[in-house]
Amino acid sequence: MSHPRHRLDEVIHTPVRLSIMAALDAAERVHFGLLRDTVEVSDSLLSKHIVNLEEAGYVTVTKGHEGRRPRTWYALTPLGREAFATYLATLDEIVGRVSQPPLR
Amino acid sequence: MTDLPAREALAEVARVRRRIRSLRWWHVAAGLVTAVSLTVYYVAMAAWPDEVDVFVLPWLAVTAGILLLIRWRMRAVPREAARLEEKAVWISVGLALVTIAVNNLLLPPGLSVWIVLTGVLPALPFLYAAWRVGRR
Repeated sequence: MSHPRHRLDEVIHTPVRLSIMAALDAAERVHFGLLRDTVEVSDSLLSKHIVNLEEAGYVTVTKGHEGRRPRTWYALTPLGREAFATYLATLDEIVGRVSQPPLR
Repeated sequence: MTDLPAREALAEVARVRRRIRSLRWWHVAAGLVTAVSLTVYYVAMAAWPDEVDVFVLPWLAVTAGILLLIRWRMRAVPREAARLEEKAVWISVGLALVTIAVNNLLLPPGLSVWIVLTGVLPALPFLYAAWRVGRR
């Protein structure tokens, strides 16, 4: 179990949740519509993955209104930022490891 | 996970980051609009005090309209932007008090280089915030 892939966070390590985490990590907070368009998923699928991330303590949801229209914003928690930084470091480690020339 | 998925994951992270960060220019635009608006306001107040009633309301309405439009387009708040903008507001208020005091107590009425320079003072924090957000 020494290969770094065993340390990849299973909560983040799916295509949709990886994209969500990357988007939220790039900003203080992101609007629902932008997140959906960036990740390229339906409203319901985005909500489902957000619930997973919320349950893991990685994401916070803020609901409000601008004028009459409801607006929902998402942000990473400190735990989420730390988890994503660790996840990226592990990916870098895997890529670095695989890029090494094979042993004879 | 093999080499390819790890690289694909990193490539996806890079793509998403680029897309989200490209939207920071809305914050830069808001900072620049606020800075220009404040400068015009304070210069006009000092240079043409008798015309204040005519220009203040339309000018504030135009500025507020532009800022609301930009705010509506802002769908991502860049990291540090909220903290920087809150600081900019408070520092700008302090500098506005300096501008009003200098314009009323030290400078003669009418348009002059000094009036323009003191008019720029309250805008400086917003220019700095826009520059900081834009360069990230």
